[in-house]
Amino acid sequence: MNNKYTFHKFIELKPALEFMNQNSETSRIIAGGTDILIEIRKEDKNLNPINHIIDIHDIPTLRKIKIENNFCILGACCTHSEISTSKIIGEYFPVLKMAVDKIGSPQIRNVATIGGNICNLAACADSIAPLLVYDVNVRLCSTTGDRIVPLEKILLKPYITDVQPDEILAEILLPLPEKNWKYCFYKLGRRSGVSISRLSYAIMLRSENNTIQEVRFAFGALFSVPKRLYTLEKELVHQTISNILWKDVSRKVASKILDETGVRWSTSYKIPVIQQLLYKSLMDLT
Amino acid sequence: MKNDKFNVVGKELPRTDAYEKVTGRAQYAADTSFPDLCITSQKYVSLAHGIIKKIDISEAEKVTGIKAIITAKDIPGKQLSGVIKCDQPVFSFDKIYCPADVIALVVGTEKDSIRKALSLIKIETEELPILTEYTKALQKDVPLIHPENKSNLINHYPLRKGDIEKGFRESDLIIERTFTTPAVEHAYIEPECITAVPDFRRDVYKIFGSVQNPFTCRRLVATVMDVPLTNIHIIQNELGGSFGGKDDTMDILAARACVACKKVGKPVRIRLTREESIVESYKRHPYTMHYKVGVSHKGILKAMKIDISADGGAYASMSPFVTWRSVVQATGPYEVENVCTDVRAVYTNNPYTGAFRGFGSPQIIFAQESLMDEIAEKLNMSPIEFRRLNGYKQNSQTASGQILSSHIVSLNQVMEKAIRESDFNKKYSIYKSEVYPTQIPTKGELILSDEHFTSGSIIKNGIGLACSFRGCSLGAEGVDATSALISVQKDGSVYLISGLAENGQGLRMTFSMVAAEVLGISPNGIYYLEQDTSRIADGGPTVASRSTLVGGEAVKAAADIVRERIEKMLISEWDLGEEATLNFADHTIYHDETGHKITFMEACNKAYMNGVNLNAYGWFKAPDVDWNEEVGQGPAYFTYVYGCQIAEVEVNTGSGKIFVKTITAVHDAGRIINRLGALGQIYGGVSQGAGYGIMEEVIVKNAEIKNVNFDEYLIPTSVDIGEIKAFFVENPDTFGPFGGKSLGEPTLELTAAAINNAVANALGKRFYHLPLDLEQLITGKTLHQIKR
Ligand SMILES: Cc1cc2nc3c(=O)[nH]c(=O)nc-3n(C[C@H](O)[C@H](O)[C@H](O)COP(=O)(O)OP(=O)(O)OC[C@H]3O[C@@H](n4cnc5c(N)ncnc54)[C@H](O)[C@@H]3O)c2cc1C
Repeated sequence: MNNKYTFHKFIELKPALEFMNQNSETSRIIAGGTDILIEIRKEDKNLNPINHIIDIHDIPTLRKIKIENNFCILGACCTHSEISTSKIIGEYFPVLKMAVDKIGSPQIRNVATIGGNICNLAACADSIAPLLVYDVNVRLCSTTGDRIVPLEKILLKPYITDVQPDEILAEILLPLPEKNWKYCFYKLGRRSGVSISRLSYAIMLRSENNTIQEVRFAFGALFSVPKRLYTLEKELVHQTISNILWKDVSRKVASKILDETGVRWSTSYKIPVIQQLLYKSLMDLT
Repeated sequence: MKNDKFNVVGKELPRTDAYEKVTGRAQYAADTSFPDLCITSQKYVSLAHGIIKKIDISEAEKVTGIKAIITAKDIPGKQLSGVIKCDQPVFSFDKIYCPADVIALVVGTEKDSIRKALSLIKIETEELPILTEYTKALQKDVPLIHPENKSNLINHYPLRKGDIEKGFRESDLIIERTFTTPAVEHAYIEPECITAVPDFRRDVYKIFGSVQNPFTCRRLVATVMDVPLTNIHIIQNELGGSFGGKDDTMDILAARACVACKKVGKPVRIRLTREESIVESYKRHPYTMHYKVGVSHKGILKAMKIDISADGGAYASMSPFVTWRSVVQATGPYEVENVCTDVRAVYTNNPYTGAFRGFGSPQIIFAQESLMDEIAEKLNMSPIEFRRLNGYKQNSQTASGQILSSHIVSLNQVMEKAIRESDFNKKYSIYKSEVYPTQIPTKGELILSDEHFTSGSIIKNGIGLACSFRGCSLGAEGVDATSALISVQKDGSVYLISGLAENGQGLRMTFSMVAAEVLGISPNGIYYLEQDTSRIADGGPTVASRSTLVGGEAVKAAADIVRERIEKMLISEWDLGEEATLNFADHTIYHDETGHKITFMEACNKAYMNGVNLNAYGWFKAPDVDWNEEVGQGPAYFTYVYGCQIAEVEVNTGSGKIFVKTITAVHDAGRIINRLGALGQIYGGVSQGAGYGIMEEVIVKNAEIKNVNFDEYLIPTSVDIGEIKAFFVENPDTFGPFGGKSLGEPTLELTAAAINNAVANALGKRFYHLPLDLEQLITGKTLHQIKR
């Protein structure tokens, strides 16, 4: 067990990709390590074929946060602390800041990365719902070329993404939003510090004269993977905001969750709670 | 707030080990190293109850690098352990009682081969039906855990006072409620670690580790090794938390390591992972408590009938002592004429339960304090008024017939102080008036109808209190005596050690302060010795909040002897006459009237030169107590402490999440010796108590623990508890050094009950189960009840 893994640290992207290309079946990336080290300790069977641990945490090009052509380019290896303290993120993407501030503890946030949060793809991953409401794309790199895809396209199943074994998630591309959005992020955990989300959601809303122009909802820990509700969002355009509307929306969200996840041990708690909390958030927003 | 009478006592002083601990220099058990150290791993079987047919280690032994595989066969002496009842195998040999049982210890030098050997140990078992529901353990036709006892009963304590039937006849209001509390984990930061080291002398072993009670540990290891007590030296390392939890578990690990050490002739270490620690260590007892209380329309408590069952798990461990405290204190600090209490601890296949800070009191306080509030409510009285009316006053009589006359009964004092400091009365009525019926559906509909949505604030505030009396030290549980050794060097520096062991609570500093006060020196000049069973007499265990009270008295006695000898020497030298008394302060000894004066250092040197003995043994034996087992009557403890805690909470009615905003904790612990240490006890105890109140629970399914690490077993973090306001009411006792008595456990026992009352104040709705987790507040069932 001690000798199972060889550790490779890269400080440039290209050699890392080349190594991955040569050893795609036996390599696994480590960024902050806050998920994968736990799998290693548990001897998770998904790691059975793996012999190479590829450290990309300190590749400078993956640690940038910058604005280019109306997009914010967020390096996948940026830590949650870096994201939280970034002026760009604070100014343009406050929902993301609110979410990463609630991840783990200061120690975790200082090493854990947003790329790791996406690629690990736990249902409760806190940074994904806010990214979804910002309509982001991700850049996946490999020696055979880059591809840029909408984030939700790579979120397949719990703990399974469409990031290929020879690929590295390099960047998250966030279109700069207009500033007239109202927004909120809510995370509920059993406790207030170092806590796994029981449920989370990110909401963005634009309205004029009490009429919805656009609304976006994304949910964490309620569906099998974090998710936007596009159909509901479309239905709501041009509707008049009222408490009746928000009650209906809350119920629809709850029904959708019930439809997709069925009744589980947690249902008797989560379903009434999401309705009340969502309703309260929507009322506070408008 | 320095008391003018004292030089040292009452100050806020950082503990002797603070520097080492915050700089990471302190050596915990796993930080120590020994040449040729063997490491180990324990073999468990995933079975809760079964007969062991065969243990085959032949294949495992052949693995290269394996030094030995230790089983029950290697034990030279006794096979069973247990402080009260000997029922727990050191290594399982004929039967499995619970999933934490260990069959073998693989000894080697590196992990890979040890793991391989573990997997090659073959154990044939025959599964037996399991018993997990402790409330059914005494029914007919349930599996017997220890069949030789013919019943699953570990112990039964009855208490009878007055005429219970008459009491209920005289009552205008009778209320019956059932409360339950869960198993909880001590959650010490340092998992168990022990190393047994052979000595060049035959059959002598030195054992180093995170041991709470070195003398208890020594007794077990000596009987298991079949050697005299003197051959086993237990040397305690710095303890990374214990809270009552590093007793039986550590002792058994020490015995296993020692058996292995004898076999391989090299140092052997057992070090548990967090998961193993949570699985193998004992827990706080789950209780189911049925209370029937009668009260007159004027609010006088007339009768209490209490029926309690406690889950002892697979082994008796401390169950008889834990539940004894419950029977003594089950009515709370209230005078009740007619009481009929039955407390029973039973065996199941669940994780075994034992000592845990509080020791049988947090459970009953949760029940009885919740009930006091509910009864007051029904009588339209304030919870304070009701408690004032029934609460203990000077010379009150307890349920066991003891008259509280020999110490100051300060229940009212602590309550009044807490009420004032928290502005209880005002807040209580405001929050109460803001209550609206909770809107979450109760009939289990999942999709809310319009009227179920709350549009206003979903945060509700509440305030609630709980108070208690607590018997100090062991009471009628057992021998209550302890020792201390002081050795003053010729330069005035001082060695000190006592028969009680530091558990991380700061005992070394408190004891140093007591000795320093007597000798008129600074506690920094005192070197507290490493705890080693060969250095000092068996002083019993560090339990029952007894250290300051009992150990402190022994330290004071030792220091007094030395002081008297110095005094005698100087009086004769200065020719002051027999009657003279000297002052010891600020490292100087002086005689007021004549102006004679000498530094402490010079005096010690002088004593050395004159052959005056400045080494002394102090001894303190607690006053006698008594208990009649048949009727549960007698003076159970020689003195008591009183406390009151008031919790202010914010409840999110949408999510069911409770935030503990403020805890006002007022404790009469007698004289406070180290104020900083005492404050630390309150902050820690309250946080632990709040965790017990709102989130902690060991989830056990089919006798197996499901949450075996801190990702799932949640304890509060620093952001989960708001402000803790700590106050002391100081009524020095006749006993205890300078009148200081007990504080450690009282700080924990009240918090959950106070929170429950605060939640009821916020929501206008009561809960009867701990923890008050998200699920219970929303669905009425705790997570555990849902998952079961
Ligand atoms: C105590 C604790 C508390 C936590 N609290 C939270 C919380 O509140 N909320 C929350 O959402 N999570 C939490 N987590 C989980 C974890 O910290 C986050 O998911 C974190 O963002 C993972 O990032 P990482 O860099 O540490 O990932 P790693 O462990 O390094 O990697 C995770 C996975 O992603 C893959 N990977 C990482 N980066 C890339 C990349 N650029 N391209 C391709 N694949 C990649 C790795 O191969 C691995 O499979 C917590 C974890 C711990 C230990």
